Amino acid sequence: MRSMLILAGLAFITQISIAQTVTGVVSSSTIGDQETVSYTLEVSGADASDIVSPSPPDAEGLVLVSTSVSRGTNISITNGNVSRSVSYTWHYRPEREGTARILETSVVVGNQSFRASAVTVEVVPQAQRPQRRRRSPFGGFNLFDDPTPAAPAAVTEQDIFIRAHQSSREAYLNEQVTLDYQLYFRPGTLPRNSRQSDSWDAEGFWREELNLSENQTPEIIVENGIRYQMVSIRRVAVFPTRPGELSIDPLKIASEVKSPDADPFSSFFHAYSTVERASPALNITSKALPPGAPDGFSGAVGNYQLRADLSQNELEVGEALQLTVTVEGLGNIALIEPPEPDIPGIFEIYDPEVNTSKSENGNLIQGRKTFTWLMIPRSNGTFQIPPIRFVFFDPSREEYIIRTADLDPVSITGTSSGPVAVTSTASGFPVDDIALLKRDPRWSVVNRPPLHHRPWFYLLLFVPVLGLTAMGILRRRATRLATDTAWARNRRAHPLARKHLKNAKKLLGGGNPDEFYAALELAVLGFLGNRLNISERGLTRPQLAYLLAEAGVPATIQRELIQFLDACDAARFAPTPPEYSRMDEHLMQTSHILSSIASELEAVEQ
Amino acid sequence: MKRGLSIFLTFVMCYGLVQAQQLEDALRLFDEANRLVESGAYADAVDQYHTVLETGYESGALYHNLAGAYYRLDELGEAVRNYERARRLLGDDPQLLHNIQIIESRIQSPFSELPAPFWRTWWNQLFGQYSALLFLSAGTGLYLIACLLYAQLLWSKTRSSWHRRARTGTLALGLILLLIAVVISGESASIRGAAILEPTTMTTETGSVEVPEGVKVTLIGEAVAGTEVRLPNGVQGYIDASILGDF
Repeated sequence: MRSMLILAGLAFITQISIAQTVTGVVSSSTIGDQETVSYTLEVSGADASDIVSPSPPDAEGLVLVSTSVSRGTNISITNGNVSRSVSYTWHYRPEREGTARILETSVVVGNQSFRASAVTVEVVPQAQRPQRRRRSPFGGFNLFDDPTPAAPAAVTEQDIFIRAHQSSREAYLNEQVTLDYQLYFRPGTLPRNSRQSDSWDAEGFWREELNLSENQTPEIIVENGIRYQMVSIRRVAVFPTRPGELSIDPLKIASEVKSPDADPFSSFFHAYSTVERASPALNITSKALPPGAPDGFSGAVGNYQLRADLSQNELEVGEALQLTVTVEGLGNIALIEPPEPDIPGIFEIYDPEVNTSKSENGNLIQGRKTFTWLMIPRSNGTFQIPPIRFVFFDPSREEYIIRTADLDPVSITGTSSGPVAVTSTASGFPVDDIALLKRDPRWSVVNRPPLHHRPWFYLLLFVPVLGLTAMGILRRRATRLATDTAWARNRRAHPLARKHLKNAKKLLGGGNPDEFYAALELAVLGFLGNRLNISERGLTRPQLAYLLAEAGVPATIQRELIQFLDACDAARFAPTPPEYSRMDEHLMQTSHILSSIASELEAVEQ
Repeated sequence: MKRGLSIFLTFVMCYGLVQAQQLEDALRLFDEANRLVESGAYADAVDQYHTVLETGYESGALYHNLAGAYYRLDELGEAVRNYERARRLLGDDPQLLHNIQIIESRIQSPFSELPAPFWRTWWNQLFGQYSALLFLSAGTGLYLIACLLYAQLLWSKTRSSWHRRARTGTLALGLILLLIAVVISGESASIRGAAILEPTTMTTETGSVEVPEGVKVTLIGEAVAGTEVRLPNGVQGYIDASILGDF
């Protein structure tokens, strides 16, 4: 059973290693005009029996030394992979100095034709080429050899160099760009003790080193007909921190190498020489992020996922609750700012604990950042924490992405046993929370109109003023009544006259004409005395007429008054009492005379 | 006359009884709402406080507690609105000021605040912590005393200089206190500002401004584009009236 599995495994390995490739390589890209160059056509991943023997490729500036081909087969097992290759080698001699070419050729494998690219060879004068020591046919020591050791063969820029690959020439702010520095060297150079020979900086970038495999197997690369081995010597993820044209320093290394053209039997001490190589400088255009970033964007660029969890959903007042928010994905995870959860005010919340884990393997920085908030509820109830929101810019989609994570409601039971806050202000209020209740309601009417819209306010203002005004008037009147006799008598004339007339009217039907006419006389003479401010007692008729004339009363009214008074006296002292109608007539006449005199006096006063 | 007086007295007595019953109801509902707050049932407490307001009575403590319940429910806009209403009735109450400071630190308004005019600062320092009723009472008392002194002058012709100074001083002081009472009362009754109840975008002449929940704005007027308001930093613009909680 085990042997069958091994066979099956070998079959699988064989199956996966039959990718067929044809490459043409030369022994050296530069030769002297007295030297020859070998051209090897290597067919990998094919059975020798399937290969139709190729003919030597044509050349420009080179002449085929011999049409005979040197054929070789190579089978190797590397890391469990079986690789098989068949090689055909020809030798060429240069015709002249300058650039020569071995032209493109093809090989038929089975029923498929594969092409090998043309190769360029530089032909230089032989004097410019290092001397090669010829190995003695008699062994390692020869008396006839030149005793001075030959200079080691020079290591050219074509033999070992550094290439820098960047994943992108343009990037948004904080977008990841991967730099891969690769050392190319020809198999014969055997570099050792490689080290960075100068400082390397990437100003304007946040950078993160990416790990390289410790068991890196050099990759075989054929370029321009020359076989190279390539290894990555440094891999860095850089993130632009400001917009604009940014440059990255060349990476310089020093390494001890052998010349690939050196005599493999030359002196051991002169085999290695130290060379310095530098990568080209790199330029990256950093673009500002597009406008219109949503609320909550804090500069995260990449591609992230969001997750949020609560440690529990049912707890008691004062118990601790943890909210964990995890942001995970590709990007500069170190610079991710915590989201801002909208925690209800009943929770006492502490600064988040932050844990970051990054993976520096591979070509991209990726990782996870976890924010854990400790929250302590201060009151009971059921609370819904709003969804957690994280905003980032995705450079591959060139748009802002909003990720949200919902949380289940939290049910809090129990009551707070005392002051919730551990510390209080000098006034006794919680340091970082509201003081919840006030218990002293001083009620007032809702939407009470302001004072200046209320009638009673104006009453309050004006009633005392009106009272004072009335009081002043009364006081003035009382004063005048007390001091101005004429005015006082004048003011009293009408009321007294009305009073006497009223009395006379009562006496009209009483059967006592004497009192009736006395009342009439009192009404008339009292009125005149008050109006004219004279003593009416003892006035004779001529005196009365004189005073009335002086006061401006017309003579007709004077006569009428005198006649009336005489009539009253006659009726009062007559032996037979007057008739009722006569008395009533005198009463009416009294009123008429009084009003006539009053009118005349008022007309005169005016 | 007697009949009219008896009707008036009956009316006054009935009115007093009804008012006493309404106050009793308001107090009972207020205490129930406070108990709901203590038990953590903030949403129910908010409903209960609004029921108290429907009885026709309000109090600074009621608005204060209502704001606290809203704060616990994380409705910061409503909390700010009711704390401002409480401030109108309670003045510079230390507990209220503490709570307002806490809620403002949570809101973290992005707008700086224009300094108040000097006279406003002085006014608030002198009279901000007193109610209109206090000035009304004192002013009315002095005014009536002044009227009595003038009545005495009219009646008895008192001519002493002390009497003259007393009646002039009390009248002037009384009228000033009444004027202050009118101003305070007018300020309390007028709607001066509003709280933003939900995060929104304010449209200005030059663009738009994001306004977070709980920011206080000054109401200027109504327009087709919405309610015209002024932010604390003096920027004016238009906001949808439905998300403004006036106080």
